[in-house]
Amino acid sequence: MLFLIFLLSGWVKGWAQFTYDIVQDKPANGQLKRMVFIKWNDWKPNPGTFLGIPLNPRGYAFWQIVNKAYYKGEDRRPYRLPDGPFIKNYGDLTLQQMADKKIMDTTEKIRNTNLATYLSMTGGNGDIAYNLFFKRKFNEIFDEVNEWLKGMQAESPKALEACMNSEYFKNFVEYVEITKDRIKAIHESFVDKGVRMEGYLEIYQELSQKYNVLSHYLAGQVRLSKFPTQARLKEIKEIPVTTSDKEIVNKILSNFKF
Amino acid sequence: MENGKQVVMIIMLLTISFFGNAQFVTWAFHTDLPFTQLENTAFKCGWNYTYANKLKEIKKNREKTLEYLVFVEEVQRKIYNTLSNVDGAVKDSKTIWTLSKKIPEILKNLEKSVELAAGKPYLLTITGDMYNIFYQRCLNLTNYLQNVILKSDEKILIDPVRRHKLVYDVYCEINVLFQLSKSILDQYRLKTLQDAVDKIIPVSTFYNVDKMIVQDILRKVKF
Repeated sequence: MLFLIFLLSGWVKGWAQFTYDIVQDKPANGQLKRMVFIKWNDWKPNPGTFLGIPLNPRGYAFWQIVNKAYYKGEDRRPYRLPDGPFIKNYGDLTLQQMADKKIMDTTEKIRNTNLATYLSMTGGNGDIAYNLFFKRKFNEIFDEVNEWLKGMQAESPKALEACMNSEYFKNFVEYVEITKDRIKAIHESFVDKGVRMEGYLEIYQELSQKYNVLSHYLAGQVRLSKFPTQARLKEIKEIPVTTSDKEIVNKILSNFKF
Repeated sequence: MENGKQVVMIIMLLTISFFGNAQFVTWAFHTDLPFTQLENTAFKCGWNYTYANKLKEIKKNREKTLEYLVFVEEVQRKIYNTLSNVDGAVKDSKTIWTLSKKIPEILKNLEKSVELAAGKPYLLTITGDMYNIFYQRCLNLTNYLQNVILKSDEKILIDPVRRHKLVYDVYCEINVLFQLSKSILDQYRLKTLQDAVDKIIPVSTFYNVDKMIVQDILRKVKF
């Protein structure tokens, strides 16, 4: 501003003269109004006529002859309210945005469903049924088999040896190895939760049945090992036989404590 | 912006005239154009800003939609791959390993049975049939294992748990054959050959069952 005053004062002081006018450019202003949104029919100079005679020859010539198509044409203001091209475009965009929002919401729901599916199908740490229930149940049976073998080792090594060498026990050991592998595979598989649980249940039922049979087999082996040997049987020359009721009762009373 | 240009131009003109030789300059102040321009600019900028915001919102929504769809596609692809491809855990399972050990054992038992039957012409025909039945059945089960259970096929969708179960079923079948072949061998060793022949007759019940089993499974697993 100071620089401007300096220039002006220097000018006045020198040998030159500066003047100014307050003006209006109505044709240009009218065009500006037409170019955006304000007003379409602000035609300057005036193109109108009175009884067929142009009110302003320049305006008439410019608008009615040279630029007639523009003058007579439709309103071309791009931002005119409420139905200009821009506003229509904006309206379409708003509709598009609403549609996109709905699509996004829908896909978000689908994503959430898929996420839940993914999590439910994930094995390993995500296998809640196994971690909370089946792992313990399977281990109970495997541990019981080990306990049985340890017990046999302590109580009757002979029975244990007989078991170890039997075809039945070898088959069971093979079955346990395969079953452990199957359980591990199911646990780590990417599969539907229901199918996984069905798989566990099926294996558990089969394993329980086989363990049940095995435990009876092992118990039988222990009992078998306690039978007297041939040498011991030969040592017993005469088997005592009780004949009278009194002897039988006394025998029972001597063996059982009430 | 336009006003800024005008001011710069005026200053330039004044500067030139200050140092130059111009004497008379009329400076015209428009009282209408700048205001109309300002009004236009404010209106346009306001709407353009709103429009740009809407576009940004749409872009954001579409990016999120794309992100969600990519995730969905990945999950679906993983599920499909799991169903159509064979998991390495199935191929490397102990069940398969045990199976691969048992089949040669079955054939070995059968060969020994044939050796024991040698020299007995009235038994050779029966022993030969038995060998064929066992061999054919092992072959069928192996083919079924390779071509259905362990084959990655886009038309056959089987989940890994079911695949393991099918492998286990084959294992059970092979195990039965193995035990049977072993039992027959023992019979040949322990008893007379005629007794052994009497015992192996039930083997024929397995004959032609395989095709039916495979067709049944194919019918169930095809979607």
